[in-house]
Amino acid sequence: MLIIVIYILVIILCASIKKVNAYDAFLEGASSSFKTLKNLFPSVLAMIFAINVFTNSGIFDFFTKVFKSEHINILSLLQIFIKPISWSSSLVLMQKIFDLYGVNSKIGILATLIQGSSDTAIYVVALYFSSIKMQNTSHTTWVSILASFVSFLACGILVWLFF
Amino acid sequence: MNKVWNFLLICGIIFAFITGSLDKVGEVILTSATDAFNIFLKMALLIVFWNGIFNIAIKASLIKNVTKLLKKPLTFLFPEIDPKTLCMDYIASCMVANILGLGLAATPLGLKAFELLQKENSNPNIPTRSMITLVLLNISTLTLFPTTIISIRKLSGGNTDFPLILMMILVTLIGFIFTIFLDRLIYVIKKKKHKC
Repeated sequence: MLIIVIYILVIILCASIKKVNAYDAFLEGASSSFKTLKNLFPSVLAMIFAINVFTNSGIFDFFTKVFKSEHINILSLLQIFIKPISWSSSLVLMQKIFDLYGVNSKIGILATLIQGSSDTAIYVVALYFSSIKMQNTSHTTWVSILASFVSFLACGILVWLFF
Repeated sequence: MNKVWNFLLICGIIFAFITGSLDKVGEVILTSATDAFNIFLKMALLIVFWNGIFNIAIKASLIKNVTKLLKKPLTFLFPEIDPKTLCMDYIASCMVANILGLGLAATPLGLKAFELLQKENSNPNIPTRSMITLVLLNISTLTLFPTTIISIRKLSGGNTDFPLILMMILVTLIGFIFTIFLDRLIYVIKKKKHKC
C-alpha cells in the first residue's frame, strides 16, 4: 500500500515542480475514461453470465473427481486461456476467483499474478498491425503468446514455491 | 473471444443437464446482471481514478525525465534505429510508460513509433526487425508499479505485502527477458537462412 501512496506523491510533486495544473489534469483524465467504460460494461456482463453458468453447472465436482487433485483449478486454467485474448474478461475472472476462494488463497494470488504478468497478446498485436493496415504479422503472434505462457508458468512456480 | 464464450455457455448448460443442477443455473443466470454490475462498479471507479492520476503524470512530462536513462539499453534492443531520431524518443517514452504502469499512456506512444518505423520500411508488406521487437516488448514489459491490480486486491480485502508486489515484478521480468531472448534467437536463425 505504501508504494501506491509514494507513487501518487511523486506524481503530484513532479506536477507542482513543473507548474502543471494537476487538478485539471486529473479531471480531464478521469472524464476521458468514461468512453472506455461505456464499452466495458457489456463485455463484463457477457463474461459474468458465461462464467456463472459455467461455474454453477457442477463441472467443478466432476473435475475434482477426474483429477483427484486440488492443485489443478479449472478457473485458473480458464484465466490462462482468456488472458491473451481479453484483459477485461480476465479481470472479471480474477474478481470471481477472489469471491469464490478468497483473495489471499493460493488461487487468488495466482490469479493476481496472472493478471499482472503480460499484456493481452492477441489484442495488442491486432491493434498495432491494424493501425498501419499490415496483414503480415511475422512471428509476433506466436512469440507473444509463448512469452505469455512462460510468464504464466513462472506465476505457477512462484506460487507453488512460496505459498 | 466468441469461441470461448460459446464454449463456456454450451459446456455449462450441458453439464447442468447431466448433473441435474439446472435449477441452480437458471437462478444464477437471472442474478448475473446484478453480479456483473457490482463487479463493473468496483473496476470502473478504480479505472476512473487511476486514469486521473495517470493524466497528471503525463501532463507533468514525468515520462520524459526518465526516458534519458533508457536510451543506452534501448540501442542494444533496437540496433537498427539511430538513437538520436524522434522515433527512438517515442520508443523510449513508450517503454517508460509501461514500466511505470501507465499502460494508457504507452499505447498511443507505441503506435506513433510503429507508424514512424513503417515509413522507413523498405518493404511495406513485411514488418522490419525493429517493428517486431517493438510490438513484442509492448506485450511483455517489465512493470514496476502494477497499480490497478494492487488496488483491486486491496479493495477485495486482500493483502498487498511487499513480497507479493516483488513477485509480480519478477513475473513481468521473466516474461520480458524471455521475449528478448526469443526475438533475438529468431532473428539470428532467419539471418542464417537468408545466407544459405
